[in-house]
Amino acid sequence: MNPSKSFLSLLPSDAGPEARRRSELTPARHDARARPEAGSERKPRSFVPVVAVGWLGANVILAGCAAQATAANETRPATTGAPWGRLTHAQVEVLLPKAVVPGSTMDVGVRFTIEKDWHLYWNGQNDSGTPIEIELRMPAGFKAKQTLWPAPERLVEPGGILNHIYEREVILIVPVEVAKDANVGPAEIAVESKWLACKEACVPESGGAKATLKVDAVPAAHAALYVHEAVAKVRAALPIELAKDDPRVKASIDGRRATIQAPDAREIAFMPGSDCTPVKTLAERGVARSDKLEIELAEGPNTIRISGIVRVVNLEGVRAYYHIDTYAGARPESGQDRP
Amino acid sequence: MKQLWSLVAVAAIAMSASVVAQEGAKPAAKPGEKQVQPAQDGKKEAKKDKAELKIGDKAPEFALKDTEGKEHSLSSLSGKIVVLEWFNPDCPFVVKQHEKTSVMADLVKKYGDKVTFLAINSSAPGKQGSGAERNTKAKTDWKIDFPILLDETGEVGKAYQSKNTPTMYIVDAKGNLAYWGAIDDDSGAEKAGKTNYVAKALDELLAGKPVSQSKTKPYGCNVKY
Repeated sequence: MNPSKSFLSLLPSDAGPEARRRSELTPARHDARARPEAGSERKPRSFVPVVAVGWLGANVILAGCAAQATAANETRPATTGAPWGRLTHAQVEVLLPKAVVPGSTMDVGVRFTIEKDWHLYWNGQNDSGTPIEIELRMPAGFKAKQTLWPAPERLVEPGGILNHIYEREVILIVPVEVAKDANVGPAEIAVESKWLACKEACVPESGGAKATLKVDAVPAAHAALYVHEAVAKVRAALPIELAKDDPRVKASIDGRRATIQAPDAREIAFMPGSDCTPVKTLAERGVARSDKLEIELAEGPNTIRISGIVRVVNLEGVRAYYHIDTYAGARPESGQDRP
Repeated sequence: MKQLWSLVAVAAIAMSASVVAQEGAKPAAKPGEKQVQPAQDGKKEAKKDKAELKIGDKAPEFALKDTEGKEHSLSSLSGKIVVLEWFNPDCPFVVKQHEKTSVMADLVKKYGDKVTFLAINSSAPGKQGSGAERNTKAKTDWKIDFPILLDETGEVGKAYQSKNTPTMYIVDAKGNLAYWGAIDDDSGAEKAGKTNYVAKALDELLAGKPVSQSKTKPYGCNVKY
Protein backbone atom coordinates (compact mmCIF):
# COMPACT_ATOMS: atom_id res chain seq x y z
CA MET A 1 0.00 0.00 0.00
CA ASN A 2 1.17 3.47 -0.74
CA PRO A 3 -0.62 5.77 1.68
CA SER A 4 0.61 8.99 0.13
CA LYS A 5 -0.81 7.95 -3.21
CA SER A 6 -4.20 7.11 -1.80
CA PHE A 7 -4.26 10.45 -0.01
CA LEU A 8 -3.33 12.46 -3.05
CA SER A 9 -5.84 10.71 -5.24
CA LEU A 10 -8.61 12.13 -3.09
CA LEU A 11 -7.64 15.69 -3.81
CA PRO A 12 -9.40 17.54 -6.59
CA SER A 13 -6.20 18.61 -8.24
CA ASP A 14 -5.09 15.08 -8.86
CA ALA A 15 -7.57 14.74 -11.70
CA GLY A 16 -6.65 11.85 -13.94
CA PRO A 17 -6.63 13.38 -17.43
CA GLU A 18 -4.66 16.38 -16.33
CA ALA A 19 -2.18 14.36 -14.38
CA ARG A 20 -1.58 12.30 -17.48
CA ARG A 21 -1.13 15.37 -19.66
CA ARG A 22 1.20 16.80 -17.11
CA SER A 23 3.31 13.69 -17.11
CA GLU A 24 4.04 14.27 -20.78
CA LEU A 25 6.42 16.99 -19.71
CA THR A 26 9.01 14.36 -19.11
CA PRO A 27 12.19 16.21 -20.06
CA ALA A 28 11.88 18.77 -17.29
CA ARG A 29 10.64 16.19 -14.85
CA HIS A 30 13.61 13.98 -15.45
CA ASP A 31 15.90 16.92 -15.03
CA ALA A 32 14.28 17.78 -11.76
CA ARG A 33 14.67 14.24 -10.55
CA ALA A 34 18.28 14.14 -11.57
CA ARG A 35 19.08 16.97 -9.18
CA PRO A 36 20.44 15.50 -6.01
CA GLU A 37 18.29 17.65 -3.74
CA ALA A 38 15.17 16.73 -5.58
CA GLY A 39 15.56 13.04 -6.01
CA SER A 40 17.69 11.60 -3.29
CA GLU A 41 15.34 11.64 -0.36
CA ARG A 42 12.05 10.92 -2.03
CA LYS A 43 10.30 8.10 -0.27
CA PRO A 44 6.61 7.56 0.04
CA ARG A 45 5.65 9.19 3.29
CA SER A 46 2.41 8.46 5.01
CA PHE A 47 0.04 11.39 4.84
CA VAL A 48 -2.79 9.56 6.54
CA PRO A 49 -2.12 10.85 10.06
CA VAL A 50 -1.87 14.36 8.66
CA VAL A 51 -5.27 14.05 7.07
CA ALA A 52 -6.77 12.85 10.30
CA VAL A 53 -5.24 15.71 12.25
CA GLY A 54 -6.22 18.35 9.72
CA TRP A 55 -9.69 16.98 9.48
CA LEU A 56 -10.02 16.92 13.24
CA GLY A 57 -9.56 20.66 13.31
CA ALA A 58 -12.10 21.14 10.58
CA ASN A 59 -14.92 19.04 11.92
CA VAL A 60 -15.60 18.68 15.58
CA ILE A 61 -18.62 16.39 15.40
CA LEU A 62 -16.82 13.36 14.03
CA ALA A 63 -13.50 14.19 15.64
CA GLY A 64 -13.78 11.43 18.20
CA CYS A 65 -14.25 8.81 15.53
CA ALA A 66 -11.32 10.05 13.52
CA ALA A 67 -9.04 10.11 16.53
CA GLN A 68 -9.90 6.55 17.40
CA ALA A 69 -9.54 5.50 13.79
CA THR A 70 -6.07 6.95 13.77
CA ALA A 71 -5.21 5.32 17.05
CA ALA A 72 -6.37 2.01 15.63
CA ASN A 73 -3.89 2.34 12.80
CA GLU A 74 -0.96 0.68 14.49
CA THR A 75 1.32 0.94 11.50
CA ARG A 76 1.44 4.71 11.32
CA PRO A 77 4.95 6.15 11.53
CA ALA A 78 6.38 8.06 14.47
CA THR A 79 5.24 11.66 14.50
CA THR A 80 8.43 13.33 15.74
CA GLY A 81 9.12 16.24 13.42
CA ALA A 82 6.10 15.31 11.35
CA PRO A 83 3.90 18.01 9.88
CA TRP A 84 0.87 19.26 11.70
CA GLY A 85 -1.81 21.75 10.86
CA ARG A 86 -4.68 21.69 8.45
CA LEU A 87 -4.94 20.11 5.05
CA THR A 88 -2.72 22.10 2.73
CA HIS A 89 -1.04 21.65 -0.64
CA ALA A 90 2.33 21.54 1.04
CA GLN A 91 3.45 20.04 4.33
CA VAL A 92 6.26 21.48 6.38
CA GLU A 93 8.76 19.61 8.56
CA VAL A 94 11.80 20.54 10.59
CA LEU A 95 14.89 18.42 9.91
CA LEU A 96 17.52 18.44 12.62
CA PRO A 97 20.72 16.62 13.40
CA LYS A 98 20.36 14.28 16.35
CA ALA A 99 22.69 16.36 18.44
CA VAL A 100 24.65 19.61 18.48
CA VAL A 101 27.63 20.80 20.49
CA PRO A 102 27.54 24.23 22.21
CA GLY A 103 29.76 26.73 20.39
CA SER A 104 29.13 25.26 16.94
CA THR A 105 26.94 25.97 13.92
CA MET A 106 24.42 23.49 12.57
CA ASP A 107 22.07 23.41 9.60
CA VAL A 108 18.38 23.36 10.33
CA GLY A 109 16.39 22.09 7.36
CA VAL A 110 12.83 23.19 6.70
CA ARG A 111 11.34 20.72 4.29
CA PHE A 112 8.24 21.39 2.22
CA THR A 113 6.64 18.36 0.65
CA ILE A 114 4.52 19.75 -2.15
CA GLU A 115 1.45 18.11 -3.62
CA LYS A 116 1.80 16.83 -7.17
CA ASP A 117 1.42 19.56 -9.83
CA TRP A 118 1.46 22.39 -7.27
CA HIS A 119 4.37 24.71 -6.65
CA LEU A 120 5.79 27.15 -4.11
CA TYR A 121 7.88 30.24 -4.85
CA TRP A 122 11.57 31.09 -4.68
CA ASN A 123 12.58 34.39 -3.07
CA GLY A 124 14.13 35.93 -6.20
CA GLN A 125 12.30 37.87 -8.91
CA ASN A 126 9.00 36.41 -10.01
CA ASP A 127 6.19 37.80 -12.15
CA SER A 128 3.60 36.55 -9.68
CA GLY A 129 3.30 34.61 -6.47
CA THR A 130 4.82 35.12 -3.04
CA PRO A 131 8.03 33.58 -1.71
CA ILE A 132 7.94 31.05 1.12
CA GLU A 133 8.31 32.70 4.54
CA ILE A 134 9.73 30.83 7.50
CA GLU A 135 10.34 31.78 11.09
CA LEU A 136 12.15 29.59 13.60
CA ARG A 137 11.42 29.47 17.31
CA MET A 138 14.41 28.22 19.25
CA PRO A 139 15.72 28.08 22.81
CA ALA A 140 17.93 30.83 24.21
CA GLY A 141 21.46 30.73 22.84
CA PHE A 142 20.35 29.62 19.35
CA LYS A 143 20.77 32.23 16.62
CA ALA A 144 19.49 31.84 13.06
CA LYS A 145 21.56 33.22 10.19
CA GLN A 146 20.51 34.03 6.61
CA THR A 147 18.34 31.32 5.04
CA LEU A 148 19.93 29.43 2.14
CA TRP A 149 17.64 28.74 -0.80
CA PRO A 150 18.25 25.89 -3.25
CA ALA A 151 18.16 26.72 -6.95
CA PRO A 152 14.57 26.86 -8.19
CA GLU A 153 13.15 25.84 -11.55
CA ARG A 154 11.94 28.23 -14.22
CA LEU A 155 8.25 28.07 -15.02
CA VAL A 156 6.97 29.98 -18.03
CA GLU A 157 3.20 30.23 -18.16
CA PRO A 158 0.88 31.57 -20.90
CA GLY A 159 1.19 35.31 -21.38
CA GLY A 160 4.97 35.23 -20.88
CA ILE A 161 4.61 34.98 -17.11
CA LEU A 162 7.89 33.80 -15.59
CA ASN A 163 8.20 32.39 -12.13
CA HIS A 164 10.93 30.54 -10.27
CA ILE A 165 9.44 27.73 -8.32
CA TYR A 166 9.83 24.57 -6.33
CA GLU A 167 7.86 21.45 -7.10
CA ARG A 168 7.58 18.17 -5.20
CA GLU A 169 10.00 19.04 -2.43
CA VAL A 170 12.30 21.79 -1.26
CA ILE A 171 14.49 22.05 1.81
CA LEU A 172 15.40 25.56 2.92
CA ILE A 173 18.50 25.63 5.13
CA VAL A 174 18.89 27.91 8.11
CA PRO A 175 22.40 27.85 9.59
CA VAL A 176 22.01 28.19 13.35
CA GLU A 177 24.73 29.23 15.77
CA VAL A 178 24.53 27.53 19.13
CA ALA A 179 26.15 29.59 21.85
CA LYS A 180 28.91 28.16 24.05
CA ASP A 181 26.69 28.57 27.10
CA ALA A 182 23.56 27.01 25.55
CA ASN A 183 21.73 24.70 27.96
CA VAL A 184 22.70 21.06 27.67
CA GLY A 185 19.83 18.63 27.16
CA PRO A 186 16.91 18.35 24.77
CA ALA A 187 16.13 21.45 22.69
CA GLU A 188 13.01 22.02 20.63
CA ILE A 189 13.05 23.91 17.34
CA ALA A 190 9.74 24.94 15.81
CA VAL A 191 9.04 26.57 12.47
CA GLU A 192 6.11 28.76 11.54
CA SER A 193 5.69 29.19 7.83
CA LYS A 194 3.51 30.93 5.25
CA TRP A 195 3.52 30.20 1.56
CA LEU A 196 1.46 30.59 -1.57
CA ALA A 197 0.71 27.28 -3.26
CA CYS A 198 -0.30 27.52 -6.91
CA LYS A 199 -1.31 25.17 -9.64
CA GLU A 200 -3.81 27.01 -11.76
CA ALA A 201 -5.37 28.37 -8.61
CA CYS A 202 -3.31 29.98 -5.91
CA VAL A 203 -3.96 29.34 -2.24
CA PRO A 204 -2.26 31.23 0.60
CA GLU A 205 -1.40 28.63 3.20
CA SER A 206 0.46 28.33 6.46
CA GLY A 207 1.72 25.63 8.70
CA GLY A 208 4.22 24.74 11.31
CA ALA A 209 6.24 21.88 12.64
CA LYS A 210 8.72 21.13 15.36
CA ALA A 211 11.44 18.71 16.21
CA THR A 212 13.85 18.06 19.03
CA LEU A 213 17.57 17.54 19.21
CA LYS A 214 20.05 17.05 22.00
CA VAL A 215 22.55 19.68 23.06
CA ASP A 216 25.57 17.61 24.07
CA ALA A 217 28.33 18.91 26.32
CA VAL A 218 30.86 16.45 24.99
CA PRO A 219 31.20 15.77 21.26
CA ALA A 220 29.86 12.36 20.38
CA ALA A 221 32.18 10.00 18.63
CA HIS A 222 30.10 9.78 15.48
CA ALA A 223 30.11 12.87 13.25
CA ALA A 224 26.93 11.74 11.51
CA LEU A 225 25.00 12.82 14.59
CA TYR A 226 25.81 16.43 13.72
CA VAL A 227 24.21 16.49 10.29
CA HIS A 228 20.86 15.50 8.90
CA GLU A 229 21.59 13.51 5.77
CA ALA A 230 18.88 15.06 3.58
CA VAL A 231 19.88 18.57 4.65
CA ALA A 232 23.55 17.84 3.98
CA LYS A 233 22.69 16.72 0.44
CA VAL A 234 20.78 19.93 -0.22
CA ARG A 235 23.65 21.99 1.17
CA ALA A 236 26.08 20.24 -1.13
CA ALA A 237 23.84 21.09 -4.10
CA LEU A 238 23.35 24.78 -3.23
CA PRO A 239 24.48 27.26 -5.90
CA ILE A 240 28.25 27.63 -5.88
CA GLU A 241 29.69 30.93 -4.65
CA LEU A 242 32.06 32.23 -7.30
CA ALA A 243 35.41 33.59 -6.26
CA LYS A 244 36.64 36.79 -7.91
CA ASP A 245 37.76 36.04 -11.47
CA ASP A 246 36.44 32.52 -11.19
CA PRO A 247 36.66 31.18 -14.76
CA ARG A 248 33.54 29.05 -14.55
CA VAL A 249 31.02 31.88 -15.01
CA LYS A 250 31.68 35.43 -16.14
CA ALA A 251 29.23 38.29 -16.24
CA SER A 252 29.93 41.60 -17.94
CA ILE A 253 27.79 44.70 -18.18
CA ASP A 254 27.79 47.07 -21.13
CA GLY A 255 25.35 49.94 -20.86
CA ARG A 256 21.94 48.38 -20.35
CA ARG A 257 22.99 44.99 -21.63
CA ALA A 258 24.71 42.20 -19.80
CA THR A 259 26.42 39.04 -20.96
CA ILE A 260 26.80 35.90 -18.92
CA GLN A 261 29.31 33.39 -20.22
CA ALA A 262 30.38 29.94 -19.16
CA PRO A 263 32.99 27.93 -21.06
CA ASP A 264 31.85 24.46 -22.09
CA ALA A 265 28.20 25.31 -21.54
CA ARG A 266 25.58 24.11 -23.94
CA GLU A 267 22.87 25.96 -22.06
CA ILE A 268 22.85 28.94 -19.70
CA ALA A 269 19.86 30.22 -17.75
CA PHE A 270 19.70 33.24 -15.49
CA MET A 271 17.39 33.55 -12.51
CA PRO A 272 17.52 37.08 -11.10
CA GLY A 273 17.67 37.55 -7.35
CA SER A 274 15.46 40.02 -5.54
CA ASP A 275 18.08 42.78 -5.69
CA CYS A 276 19.05 42.30 -9.35
CA THR A 277 18.33 45.18 -11.73
CA PRO A 278 15.10 44.19 -13.51
CA VAL A 279 15.74 42.31 -16.73
CA LYS A 280 13.52 42.66 -19.81
CA THR A 281 11.62 39.76 -21.39
CA LEU A 282 13.34 37.14 -19.31
CA ALA A 283 10.49 34.69 -19.89
CA GLU A 284 11.54 34.44 -23.52
CA ARG A 285 15.23 35.22 -23.30
CA GLY A 286 16.32 33.91 -19.93
CA VAL A 287 17.77 30.73 -21.38
CA ALA A 288 20.39 30.47 -24.13
CA ARG A 289 21.34 27.25 -25.82
CA SER A 290 24.96 28.22 -26.06
CA ASP A 291 27.87 29.25 -23.86
CA LYS A 292 26.68 32.85 -23.78
CA LEU A 293 23.48 34.47 -22.52
CA GLU A 294 22.74 38.07 -23.38
CA ILE A 295 20.18 39.93 -21.36
CA GLU A 296 18.72 43.39 -21.65
CA LEU A 297 18.06 45.47 -18.57
CA ALA A 298 14.97 47.55 -17.98
CA GLU A 299 15.27 51.32 -17.69
CA GLY A 300 16.17 52.41 -14.20
CA PRO A 301 18.95 53.77 -12.03
CA ASN A 302 22.47 53.93 -13.40
CA THR A 303 23.85 51.49 -10.90
CA ILE A 304 23.35 48.09 -12.42
CA ARG A 305 23.57 44.93 -10.43
CA ILE A 306 23.39 41.50 -11.98
CA SER A 307 22.77 39.12 -9.12
CA GLY A 308 21.08 35.79 -8.87
CA ILE A 309 21.57 32.22 -9.92
CA VAL A 310 23.12 31.05 -13.17
CA ARG A 311 22.22 27.55 -14.26
CA VAL A 312 24.78 25.98 -16.53
CA VAL A 313 24.34 22.74 -18.44
CA ASN A 314 27.72 21.63 -19.71
CA LEU A 315 28.48 19.70 -22.88
CA GLU A 316 28.06 16.42 -21.04
CA GLY A 317 24.62 17.47 -19.91
CA VAL A 318 25.57 17.99 -16.26
CA ARG A 319 23.82 20.84 -14.48
CA ALA A 320 25.53 23.23 -12.10
CA TYR A 321 24.29 26.32 -10.31
CA TYR A 322 26.29 29.42 -9.43
CA HIS A 323 25.57 32.62 -7.54
CA ILE A 324 26.65 35.69 -9.45
CA ASP A 325 26.82 39.26 -8.24
CA THR A 326 28.30 41.83 -10.60
CA TYR A 327 28.01 45.60 -10.53
CA ALA A 328 28.44 48.47 -12.92
CA GLY A 329 28.51 51.92 -11.37
CA ALA A 330 28.60 52.57 -7.64
CA ARG A 331 28.37 49.48 -5.51
CA PRO A 332 25.11 49.31 -3.56
CA GLU A 333 25.53 49.69 0.17
CA SER A 334 23.72 46.63 1.42
CA GLY A 335 24.86 43.67 -0.55
CA GLN A 336 24.41 40.86 1.91
CA ASP A 337 21.00 39.69 0.76
CA ARG A 338 20.73 36.44 -1.07
CA PRO A 339 19.82 35.76 -3.72
CA MET B 1 -14.14 -3.45 15.30
CA LYS B 2 -10.90 -2.35 13.79
CA GLN B 3 -12.44 -2.63 10.34
CA LEU B 4 -15.34 -0.46 11.36
CA TRP B 5 -13.00 2.29 12.51
CA SER B 6 -11.09 2.03 9.27
CA LEU B 7 -14.34 2.57 7.38
CA VAL B 8 -15.12 5.62 9.47
CA ALA B 9 -11.64 6.93 8.82
CA VAL B 10 -12.06 6.48 5.07
CA ALA B 11 -15.41 8.26 5.17
CA ALA B 12 -13.88 11.07 7.17
CA ILE B 13 -11.02 11.49 4.75
CA ALA B 14 -13.40 11.44 1.82
CA MET B 15 -15.50 14.14 3.46
CA SER B 16 -12.53 16.36 4.12
CA ALA B 17 -11.46 15.87 0.52
CA SER B 18 -14.89 16.92 -0.72
CA VAL B 19 -14.65 20.09 1.34
CA VAL B 20 -11.38 20.82 -0.36
CA ALA B 21 -12.96 20.03 -3.70
CA GLN B 22 -15.52 22.75 -3.16
CA GLU B 23 -13.00 25.29 -2.03
CA GLY B 24 -10.32 24.47 -4.53
CA ALA B 25 -10.44 25.52 -8.11
CA LYS B 26 -11.53 23.28 -10.91
CA PRO B 27 -8.78 21.22 -12.46
CA ALA B 28 -6.83 23.35 -14.87
CA ALA B 29 -7.77 23.15 -18.51
CA LYS B 30 -4.12 23.18 -19.34
CA PRO B 31 -1.24 22.94 -16.94
CA GLY B 32 1.45 25.59 -16.81
CA GLU B 33 3.99 24.88 -19.46
CA LYS B 34 7.44 24.29 -18.31
CA GLN B 35 10.02 25.89 -20.48
CA VAL B 36 11.46 22.76 -21.96
CA GLN B 37 12.45 24.21 -25.30
CA PRO B 38 13.56 27.74 -24.63
CA ALA B 39 14.88 28.38 -28.12
CA GLN B 40 11.45 27.81 -29.66
CA ASP B 41 9.67 29.80 -27.02
CA GLY B 42 12.03 32.66 -27.65
CA LYS B 43 11.16 32.82 -31.31
CA LYS B 44 7.45 32.55 -30.73
CA GLU B 45 7.15 35.24 -28.08
CA ALA B 46 9.83 37.63 -29.21
CA LYS B 47 7.73 39.13 -31.99
CA LYS B 48 4.89 40.08 -29.71
CA ASP B 49 6.66 42.07 -27.05
CA LYS B 50 8.92 44.36 -29.00
CA ALA B 51 7.63 47.53 -27.40
CA GLU B 52 7.57 47.55 -23.66
CA LEU B 53 4.66 49.53 -22.29
CA LYS B 54 5.89 52.50 -20.28
CA ILE B 55 4.39 55.13 -18.02
CA GLY B 56 3.37 58.09 -20.19
CA ASP B 57 2.62 55.90 -23.21
CA LYS B 58 -0.79 56.01 -24.84
CA ALA B 59 -2.85 53.44 -22.92
CA PRO B 60 -3.76 50.57 -25.27
CA GLU B 61 -7.29 50.93 -26.65
CA PHE B 62 -9.85 48.24 -25.90
CA ALA B 63 -13.49 47.47 -26.51
CA LEU B 64 -14.76 44.71 -24.25
CA LYS B 65 -18.15 43.49 -23.11
CA ASP B 66 -19.05 43.46 -19.44
CA THR B 67 -20.87 40.69 -17.57
CA GLU B 68 -24.21 42.05 -18.86
CA GLY B 69 -23.05 42.16 -22.47
CA LYS B 70 -22.60 45.91 -22.60
CA GLU B 71 -19.52 47.13 -24.47
CA HIS B 72 -17.03 49.55 -22.93
CA SER B 73 -14.18 51.14 -24.80
CA LEU B 74 -11.35 53.26 -23.51
CA SER B 75 -11.73 55.79 -26.31
CA SER B 76 -15.35 56.47 -25.28
CA LEU B 77 -13.99 57.58 -21.90
CA SER B 78 -11.55 60.14 -23.24
CA GLY B 79 -11.27 63.18 -21.04
CA LYS B 80 -11.81 61.09 -17.94
CA ILE B 81 -9.41 59.49 -15.53
CA VAL B 82 -9.88 55.71 -15.70
CA VAL B 83 -8.80 53.16 -13.11
CA LEU B 84 -8.39 49.59 -14.39
CA GLU B 85 -8.29 46.67 -12.00
CA TRP B 86 -7.06 43.34 -13.39
CA PHE B 87 -9.55 40.96 -11.91
CA ASN B 88 -10.10 37.28 -11.13
CA PRO B 89 -12.76 36.57 -8.50
CA ASP B 90 -11.02 33.37 -7.41
CA CYS B 91 -7.59 34.84 -6.82
CA PRO B 92 -7.06 35.26 -3.06
CA PHE B 93 -5.37 38.63 -3.56
CA VAL B 94 -8.45 39.92 -5.43
CA VAL B 95 -10.59 38.46 -2.67
CA LYS B 96 -8.52 40.51 -0.25
CA GLN B 97 -9.29 43.85 -1.83
CA HIS B 98 -13.01 43.15 -2.33
CA GLU B 99 -14.06 40.86 0.50
CA LYS B 100 -11.50 40.70 3.28
CA THR B 101 -10.89 44.43 3.27
CA SER B 102 -12.70 47.46 1.93
CA VAL B 103 -9.70 48.66 -0.08
CA MET B 104 -11.50 48.78 -3.45
CA ALA B 105 -14.82 49.92 -2.02
CA ASP B 106 -13.05 52.79 -0.24
CA LEU B 107 -11.40 53.91 -3.47
CA VAL B 108 -14.71 53.89 -5.32
CA LYS B 109 -16.42 55.74 -2.47
CA LYS B 110 -13.77 58.42 -2.40
CA TYR B 111 -13.08 58.87 -6.12
CA GLY B 112 -16.10 57.30 -7.84
CA ASP B 113 -17.69 60.61 -8.80
CA LYS B 114 -14.53 61.93 -10.48
CA VAL B 115 -12.96 58.78 -11.83
CA THR B 116 -14.24 55.82 -13.91
CA PHE B 117 -13.52 52.37 -12.52
CA LEU B 118 -13.40 49.24 -14.68
CA ALA B 119 -12.37 45.69 -13.81
CA ILE B 120 -10.91 43.52 -16.56
CA ASN B 121 -10.78 39.75 -16.31
CA SER B 122 -8.36 38.07 -18.74
CA SER B 123 -9.00 34.48 -17.61
CA ALA B 124 -9.25 32.26 -20.68
CA PRO B 125 -12.49 30.28 -21.08
CA GLY B 126 -12.50 27.32 -18.72
CA LYS B 127 -9.72 28.74 -16.59
CA GLN B 128 -10.06 29.92 -13.04
CA GLY B 129 -12.43 32.86 -12.54
CA SER B 130 -13.62 32.96 -16.16
CA GLY B 131 -17.08 33.54 -17.57
CA ALA B 132 -19.98 35.94 -17.18
CA GLU B 133 -21.74 33.78 -14.61
CA ARG B 134 -18.86 33.62 -12.15
CA ASN B 135 -18.10 37.32 -12.49
CA THR B 136 -21.74 38.35 -12.15
CA LYS B 137 -21.81 36.42 -8.90
CA ALA B 138 -18.67 38.17 -7.67
CA LYS B 139 -20.14 41.53 -8.66
CA THR B 140 -23.27 40.79 -6.61
CA ASP B 141 -21.51 39.16 -3.66
CA TRP B 142 -18.98 41.94 -3.33
CA LYS B 143 -21.41 44.75 -4.30
CA ILE B 144 -19.05 45.94 -7.02
CA ASP B 145 -20.77 48.91 -8.64
CA PHE B 146 -18.48 49.21 -11.64
CA PRO B 147 -18.41 46.96 -14.71
CA ILE B 148 -16.35 43.79 -14.92
CA LEU B 149 -15.15 43.41 -18.52
CA LEU B 150 -14.38 39.98 -19.92
CA ASP B 151 -11.19 39.66 -21.95
CA GLU B 152 -11.34 35.95 -22.73
CA THR B 153 -8.82 36.10 -25.57
CA GLY B 154 -6.36 37.80 -23.22
CA GLU B 155 -5.53 40.36 -25.91
CA VAL B 156 -6.18 43.37 -23.73
CA GLY B 157 -4.31 41.86 -20.81
CA LYS B 158 -1.32 41.18 -23.02
CA ALA B 159 -1.48 44.69 -24.54
CA TYR B 160 -1.27 46.05 -20.99
CA GLN B 161 1.41 43.46 -20.19
CA SER B 162 -0.61 42.51 -17.15
CA LYS B 163 0.80 39.49 -15.37
CA ASN B 164 -0.93 39.65 -12.01
CA THR B 165 -4.34 39.79 -10.53
CA PRO B 166 -4.81 42.28 -9.13
CA THR B 167 -2.80 44.82 -11.13
CA MET B 168 -3.92 48.44 -11.07
CA TYR B 169 -3.56 50.90 -13.94
CA ILE B 170 -4.55 54.54 -14.06
CA VAL B 171 -5.15 56.19 -17.42
CA ASP B 172 -5.11 59.99 -17.22
CA ALA B 173 -7.59 62.35 -18.90
CA LYS B 174 -5.35 62.49 -21.99
CA GLY B 175 -5.50 58.73 -22.36
CA ASN B 176 -1.93 58.16 -21.21
CA LEU B 177 -0.75 55.58 -18.72
CA ALA B 178 -0.20 57.39 -15.41
CA TYR B 179 0.15 54.52 -12.93
CA TRP B 180 0.93 50.80 -13.19
CA GLY B 181 1.38 48.45 -10.30
CA ALA B 182 0.07 47.23 -6.97
CA ILE B 183 -2.88 48.73 -5.17
CA ASP B 184 -0.90 49.11 -1.94
CA ASP B 185 2.23 48.12 -0.09
CA ASP B 186 1.05 44.92 1.59
CA SER B 187 1.76 42.04 -0.73
CA GLY B 188 0.00 39.46 1.45
CA ALA B 189 -3.51 38.16 0.92
CA GLU B 190 -4.94 39.19 4.28
CA LYS B 191 -4.80 42.89 5.04
CA ALA B 192 -4.62 46.31 3.44
CA GLY B 193 -1.29 48.09 3.19
CA LYS B 194 -0.32 51.33 4.89
CA THR B 195 0.11 53.23 1.64
CA ASN B 196 -2.49 52.99 -1.09
CA TYR B 197 -0.56 53.81 -4.26
CA VAL B 198 -3.70 54.23 -6.34
CA ALA B 199 -5.25 56.74 -3.93
CA LYS B 200 -1.98 58.64 -3.81
CA ALA B 201 -1.70 58.75 -7.61
CA LEU B 202 -5.35 59.81 -7.99
CA ASP B 203 -4.91 62.62 -5.44
CA GLU B 204 -1.94 63.90 -7.41
CA LEU B 205 -3.67 63.59 -10.79
CA LEU B 206 -6.82 65.32 -9.55
CA ALA B 207 -4.68 68.14 -8.15
CA GLY B 208 -3.05 68.53 -11.56
CA LYS B 209 0.30 67.27 -10.27
CA PRO B 210 2.52 64.61 -11.80
CA VAL B 211 2.27 61.17 -10.21
CA SER B 212 5.24 60.81 -7.86
CA GLN B 213 5.22 57.02 -7.70
CA SER B 214 3.97 55.89 -11.07
CA LYS B 215 5.25 52.31 -11.13
CA THR B 216 5.30 49.74 -8.37
CA LYS B 217 5.68 46.00 -8.41
CA PRO B 218 2.28 44.32 -8.67
CA TYR B 219 1.67 41.33 -6.45
CA GLY B 220 -0.76 38.44 -6.52
CA CYS B 221 -1.72 35.53 -8.72
CA ASN B 222 -0.69 35.09 -12.32
CA VAL B 223 -3.26 36.09 -14.93
CA LYS B 224 -4.92 32.90 -16.18
CA TYR B 225 -4.31 33.45 -19.91
